[in-house]
Amino acid sequence: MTAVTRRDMGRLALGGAALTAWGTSARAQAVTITVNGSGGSLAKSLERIYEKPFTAETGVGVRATAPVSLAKLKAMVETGNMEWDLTEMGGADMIEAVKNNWLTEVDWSIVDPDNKLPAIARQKYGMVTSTFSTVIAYRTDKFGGKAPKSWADFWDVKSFPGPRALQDSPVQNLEFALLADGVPADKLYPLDVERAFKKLDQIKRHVAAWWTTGAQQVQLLVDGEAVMGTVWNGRVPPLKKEGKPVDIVWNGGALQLSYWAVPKGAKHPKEAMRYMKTRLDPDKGVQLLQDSPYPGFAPGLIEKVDPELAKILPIHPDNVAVQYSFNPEYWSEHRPKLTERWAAWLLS
Amino acid sequence: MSPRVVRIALALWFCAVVFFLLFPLVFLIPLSFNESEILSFPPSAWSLRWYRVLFTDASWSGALWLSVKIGVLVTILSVAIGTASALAIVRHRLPGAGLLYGLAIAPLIVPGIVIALGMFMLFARLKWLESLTTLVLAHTVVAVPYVIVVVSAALRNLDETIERAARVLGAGPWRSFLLVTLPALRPAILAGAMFAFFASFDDLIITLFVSGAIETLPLRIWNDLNLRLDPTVAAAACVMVAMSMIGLGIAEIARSAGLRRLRTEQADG
Amino acid sequence: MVAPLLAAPLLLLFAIFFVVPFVEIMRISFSGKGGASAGVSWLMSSPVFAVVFLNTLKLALSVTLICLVLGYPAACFIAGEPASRRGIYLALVLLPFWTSVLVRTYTWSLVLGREGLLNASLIWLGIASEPQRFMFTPLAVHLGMVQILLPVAILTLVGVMTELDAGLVRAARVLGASPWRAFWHVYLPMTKPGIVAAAMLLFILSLGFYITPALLGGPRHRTIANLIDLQVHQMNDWTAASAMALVLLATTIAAVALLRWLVPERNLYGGAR
Repeated sequence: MTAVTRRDMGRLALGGAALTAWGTSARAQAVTITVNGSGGSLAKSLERIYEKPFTAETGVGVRATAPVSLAKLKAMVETGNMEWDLTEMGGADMIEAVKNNWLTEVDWSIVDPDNKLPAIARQKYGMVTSTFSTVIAYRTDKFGGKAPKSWADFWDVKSFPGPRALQDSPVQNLEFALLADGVPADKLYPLDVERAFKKLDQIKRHVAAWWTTGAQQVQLLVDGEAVMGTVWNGRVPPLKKEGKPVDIVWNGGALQLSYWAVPKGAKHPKEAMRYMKTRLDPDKGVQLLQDSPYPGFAPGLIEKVDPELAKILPIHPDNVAVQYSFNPEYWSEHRPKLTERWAAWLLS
Repeated sequence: MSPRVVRIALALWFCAVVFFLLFPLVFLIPLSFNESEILSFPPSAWSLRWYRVLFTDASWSGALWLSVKIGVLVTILSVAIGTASALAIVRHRLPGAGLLYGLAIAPLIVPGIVIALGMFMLFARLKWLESLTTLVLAHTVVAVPYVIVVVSAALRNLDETIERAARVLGAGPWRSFLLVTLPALRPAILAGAMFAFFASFDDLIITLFVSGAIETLPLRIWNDLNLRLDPTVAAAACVMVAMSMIGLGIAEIARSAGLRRLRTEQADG
Repeated sequence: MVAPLLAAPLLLLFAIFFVVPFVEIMRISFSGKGGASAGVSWLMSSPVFAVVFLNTLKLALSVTLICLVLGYPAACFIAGEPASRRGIYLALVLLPFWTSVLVRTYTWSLVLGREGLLNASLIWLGIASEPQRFMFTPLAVHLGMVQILLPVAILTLVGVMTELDAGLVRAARVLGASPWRAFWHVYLPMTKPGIVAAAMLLFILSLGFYITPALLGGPRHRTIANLIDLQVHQMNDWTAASAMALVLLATTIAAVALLRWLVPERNLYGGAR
């Protein structure tokens, strides 16, 4: 009895609050969607470029949450309590989520009715929102004017002496080892795991640091802990502009995709998909690129970008030509086994 | 070896320990005033840029304030619940006190991610997520063990005969607790309270799962760590240290002023 | 009659916010295909679990000992000062807590890095001719963890030392005991509950560390918490994570029970009470 009364009172109070909100705001927001992303310093740009204008135009509020977490998605689906209407997701996580049936199919008649996106960006359960690349970064002041050009150079500790830094994960490192060993970029998958670990054996004792978070990558280079290492492409250009002696090598980079997907059980899937559509606007895309050099496939985006900026984007044609495209299907299937082997290999 | 020599040796040891504890923090000052996008030392150019971000970007200042607020609530709850439980375990010979003690420290042992997942699964069903109350109580679970460990250790050391004497002389259990036990426990309770506050203030993993869109300071830092960590974290750290030093200074001045007043009154009387 | 009442708030809070969630996650983790046996077989077959688990225990043990040895004299000093000044000293020790563990960990790389302060000093003094590697070594991990945990040791010890009966030590001295004997036979035994409490807290807390070992250590310093985090966040395997959590819980409780059996809570003064 008491519980019911209290709940009713709560409802009453909520109703009161809603009425007040109605009185004060010019436009009542019927629906608010929750969009889960990486958060951090980029959240402010997203709010300015996408979220606020969308709310002004449609009356649908946008609430941003962070961070991206597959474990949390799983927990939400299993309890039937989906907080998110839309979430960002990496390639391998995306496949894991599809495999477990955690996502809702994208209704492309809402998101992209005129079929303007390239096929690669239009997938059954998600839309590609950004592209990024794991590439070699190096200290320009440590090799007497020489510059490494490939994974073979990364492994060449005679010509390019000094400590290295790699991620503490088999993902991509196996590919990099195979590229260094001369495997052509289009013949990488399925990976020759034995050959990759054998090649990794050669570099292991030269790797000073095995990084675990994104923020560590450039920090290790700038602090001089490593003279060469792997980074995500976006962090280096601003540091280069600042005068730090660092640069990246596009050759042999791992081109990857990042998605937006609507989780199963989302409360407002239609509104979420309408919001997805805002990513098709190339002008907004150009604005976002000022703060984050991870472009999506908005039609006409590359043409509108300042050519200098375009050069440092992972999907610039010159860069695409020299990278390999990362295969998340392969990794989704083999990650558990290979991660175990990787951990054992590191400890041995 | 006279007691004087021992005191001096201990004082020197203490100075060395404080130096070790504070020395890395000294670096935070130049880091926070650095113009660069990245934490780097020595700074290339000086600027207030990151302090501006800290105070103008609501996601930083809001997170900082929220963390302090939650920390204070958690501390109050933990001290009350923890001290009471320590009394029950040590003083009142509760049957199964050993088991209770084991339960009390278990939240420190079970890895954060496991308990966080469990909390999420349960609270999602109960629709308790994204509430400040839930977050405060969840933090209290990991904060209370500190109070219990520290206070029950102190209680074990406390001479029970004094309490008994107070009782014999006619004080009720409540009065003897208030006038005898509590004052003796004060240092331990204070230590437990500090631990409890910082357990909440620095918690990441439980907040990550239970909070929804509520962003505390560690969560804000974590979200940056995934992509880019800029000197705002150093600025936030400097502000926190400075604030705690100012608070300490005020408390010290108030205390010595109070002491002086007391002495004057005594002299007058 | 009072005891159950005093313990009631704790029991209520823990029942809802700890026991039920814990049981819940165990139930979910072990109800999948294979159930509990999947967890056990994962533990048995994993090539890394046993190694990482042992490494974690060793790390926790050495950090605990270092903190106690460094912290005990410092706590003695604080406890011996007049009460009015103790607050200031404790606040000094606590100052580092105001900055997140992450930031404190990072600052060590400025000291220990190849281009850091320590290397610069060594080269300037002529002790080393080229930068030495300090980062990602046991030294770095221990420095980082001790810096974070030392205040816990000091505070816990001070909490117990300040209410000791100083008269007993004085009595021993008056009766002719040397300072060393007075310390060894009177003061040290009296502070035993504090040492036990501090050792327990430190050991338990070091077992759960993962940010500091991951940022300052190499692959050999990955802890069981790292491994659990990896299983949950990257491998989507809650069964393995929960199995490891249970092993950790059982080991730690056994260690705590052993410690309390070795140092019984009553008769800590050798029967003085």
